[in-house]
Parts: sequence; C-alpha cells; structure tokens
Amino acid sequence: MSKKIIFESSEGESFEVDEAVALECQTIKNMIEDDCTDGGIPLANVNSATLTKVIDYCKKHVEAAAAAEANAGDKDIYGANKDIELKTWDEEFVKVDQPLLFDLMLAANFLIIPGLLDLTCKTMMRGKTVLQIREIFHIKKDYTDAEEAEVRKENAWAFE
Amino acid sequence: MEHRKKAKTDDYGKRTQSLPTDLITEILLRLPEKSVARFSCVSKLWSSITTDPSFISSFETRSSRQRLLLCLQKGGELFVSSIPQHTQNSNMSYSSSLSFDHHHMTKFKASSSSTESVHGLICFESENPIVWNPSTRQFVTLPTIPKPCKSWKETILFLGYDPIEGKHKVVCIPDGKTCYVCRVYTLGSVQESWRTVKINHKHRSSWDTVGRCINGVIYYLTFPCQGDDYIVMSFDVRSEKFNMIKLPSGFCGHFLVTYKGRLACFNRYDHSRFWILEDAQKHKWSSQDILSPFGDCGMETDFNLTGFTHAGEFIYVPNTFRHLFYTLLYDPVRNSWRRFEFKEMAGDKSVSNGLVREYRLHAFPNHIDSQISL
Repeated sequence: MSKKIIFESSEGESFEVDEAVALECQTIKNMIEDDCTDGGIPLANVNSATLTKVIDYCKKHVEAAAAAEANAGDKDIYGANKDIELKTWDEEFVKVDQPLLFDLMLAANFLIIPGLLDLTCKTMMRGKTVLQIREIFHIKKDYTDAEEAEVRKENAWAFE
Repeated sequence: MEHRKKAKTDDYGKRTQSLPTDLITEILLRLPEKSVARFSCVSKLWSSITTDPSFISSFETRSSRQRLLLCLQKGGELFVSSIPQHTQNSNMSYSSSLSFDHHHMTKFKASSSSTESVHGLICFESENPIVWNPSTRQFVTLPTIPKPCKSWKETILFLGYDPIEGKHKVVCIPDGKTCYVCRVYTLGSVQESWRTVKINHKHRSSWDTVGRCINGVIYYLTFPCQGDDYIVMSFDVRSEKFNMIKLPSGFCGHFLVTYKGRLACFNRYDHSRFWILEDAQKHKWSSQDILSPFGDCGMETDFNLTGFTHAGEFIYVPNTFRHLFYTLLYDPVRNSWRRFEFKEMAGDKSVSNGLVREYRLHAFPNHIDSQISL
C-alpha cells in the first residue's frame, strides 16, 4: 500500500491522500523530501472546499500521467491526440464561481502546482476588461484621468 | 436582496485584497502580450510590474511562449501557421492538422531565402532586404545596400538581436568572397541607414551559410582566407566585433543549429554525433551522441533536421513537397512524436489539390511573439 499524507484545512478538517497525489504540489514535495510531513500538514490558508478541489485536480493528473505511461509503448506517429480528454476535464474543473476560482489560484500559487496555477490564472483573466479586473481584485484606480488616458494611449494597440 | 449581495461582495473583497505582488506577476506572465499591455492600465503597481526589465525578459523567453512557425511561401504570398512547442508532460504521440493564416508581402522578389526568427523578427532576402514581424503582420523594406564593388553582387544576410540594448541589427556580407567590410543596419535607430563596419577577422563566406543568433552573438560557418575547412565566425551584435572559432579537429561540420540555448554543429550526412560549443575563446566543444529517431524505417532521407525546440525536441520538415505534407517533432526523452499536417490554407485549396509543391517551406523554431513596431 502506498504511503499516505494528511492535509489539514483551515477549518481543521483532515484529508488523507496518496503520497503520489501530494507530490503534485512542489511545496509538499520539498517537505516530503525533508521528511517533515509526520503528523499531517496544516494548511492554514486553504479552506476545505478549496482543498477538496485541489486534491481532485492532483488525483486526476496523477491518473492521467499513469495512463499515459502505460501506453508509452505505443509509438504510432499517426496516433490520435489523447490529451484532449484531460483538457476537457480541466475546462469543466474550473467552471466554478469567482471566489472559489480565486481561492484555487491562491492555493495553486502557495502549494506550487504549475498546471493548476496556469489553468486558474488564464481562466480568471480570460476576456476581462480593465474595469472588471479592478472590480474582481478590489484594486483602487490610482491613476488620475489624465494619467490613465496617457497609459491607454501608449497601449492603444492592445485595446483594438 | 441588494443588501445581501453587497455583504457577500465585501466578504470576498476582504480575501481578495491580499492579492500578493508575486501572484500578480505569475498571472501576468501567463497571459498573451495584448492582455498584459491592456492590464498595465489597471493600476500603477500593475504597470510597474509589466514594465520591469526582468519581467519583460522572463515574459518573452518563457518556453511555453516559444512556437515553431511554419511558413509556406510562393512569391509574396505567405501562409503561416504556428505550433506550440510546449508539450505539457505528454508521453503521447499524436497527429493534428494545421490551419494557415494568409500574409501578403509587397515588393517581393521570388526565390528568397530567409534568416532564422530572432527575437520575434525574420528577415527575407529580396532585392532589398525585407524584415517581417509575423505577430503584427508588418513588413518593412530596408534601403538598398550600398555595394562598394561588383564582388558584392550576391550577398548574405544575418539577423541579430542585442538583448542589452534591445536592438535588432541586420548584417550583410558579400557571398563567396573574402570580405574586409560588412554592412550593418540597426532597426529602429534614429538615423536609419546602412553603416560600414570593418571586419577584423578576414574570411570567405560560403553561399549556403545560415546565421544563428544566441545571446547577442551571431554565429555562421565560413572559410578562412586560405584553406577549405570550415570555421565558425562569430559577430557580437553589440560591439560589432568578429571572432573566429575553430571546429573540433577531425570533424566536418556542415550546419549550425541552436540546441537548448547553445550553438551546435552537425555533419550533413551523419547526425549520430554532433558538437556543442562550450567555450568560444578556448575553441572548446563537447560531443553528444544521438540515435536516429527514424530507426530503420528509411524515412530519414525524406526529412531535414531543421533544428530543435528549446526543450530539445527534434524538428523535421520534409525536404520535398511531392508526397509529404507534414512536419514532425520528435521528443527523444519520451520517445514520442508529434505530427502536424498541412491541410488547407485560408481560402486556398492548393494544399488539398497537391499544388502545395509550388511552395517553399520555411521553418522557424523558437519563434516568440513580439510587438516591436517596424
């Protein structure tokens, strides 16, 4: 039986996962290598709902990698693109509300899960206007109207 | 109802206010260039991140941004397609078809060769050199190269990029002749003209030489004034000084490629061993052995190795368009292939009709999107 790692969410809830799944997180991987995971890993800034999703993501990607490994003997250069299934899964995975997406992005950044960070960042920003970004991240406009007009002029090509 | 909605937003706001600067950087690094330029208008902090030189440098060179640009050319008509080089940890071999985008180059003379893609730009040889930015679809025709004498009838062009000053330069040397001077054109300079630069290492160029620009230095194969054994000439784009590098003794190198960010030299007939430049001043090279990815299937003669992706994938393009309408990428670590077929070009049915053989195929590995205005 494979080794288990225990995560503890900000609410104090415990989550047991296979070591292989936990290794998807670079931060955890370093902790495992340094042998300081006994007695569970407290994640004070990740809540249970987010952690459940993060674990789902890591599990799916570990399984997909294992399946790809099993098919590695197949060297057919005419083979079909089997990555499509995983991409579709990823797209479905991030169909969540904005706050949860934001928490997933923070968690992916903190735990260092490159694939998930990539996915959440891109989904978060896709098709957003400057005003929407200010609203989502609660950023106060610190440009004067004249300054903003100037910056917009400099980057006019990006607003076409 | 209104009240409840507001409360929820406030709660969310509390958490989102702590968007750390390093995360803003991580987000922006992953976006297309256009979005980054747009979001520099969000706030002064966001603008300071996007204009920071270290951000710009890591943004441009992120391996996931590098693409293999394929270009089918017939006269001034260019059909362009690009393939992401990033493989996303896939062990799978797969095949997919490419769609093409149509670009039109005016003032274009047929049968022109091109330089490699250097920091987002490509230079075509024509009556006057033409510099192309595929991302902005801009073309610019450079002024006529001043030629001192008849021996400058045929010329060779190199494109270089100086990462310190952020400037592209086009370098022109005469073809097949010993040269004492070269012409250099700095793109985007105030006084745009060809300058004469003295060649401090005399050499005789070879007609089929191709320049490789790596970290602000252009390398190309050439001959010394006396003798017929190739040497490598380097040109420092910033200081505009030439230097000579000897090839490993006993090795007959025919072409240069960029391999994982370093200069590599190959023999045209035997790809099983190639040499990587370790130290230019000491003329030191190290060898690397590779197995032919084609094995015994005999397809090797149908394809040309045109280079490597930054991750070390082999890029093969067909050497004839008679019956092979695809490009292959081979990953030696995972032993997997990616195959890209030329199906149909935007509004042009000639690929499916087999007329594609009239086109010349250019492959530009490690191409990055650049918004440099020409």
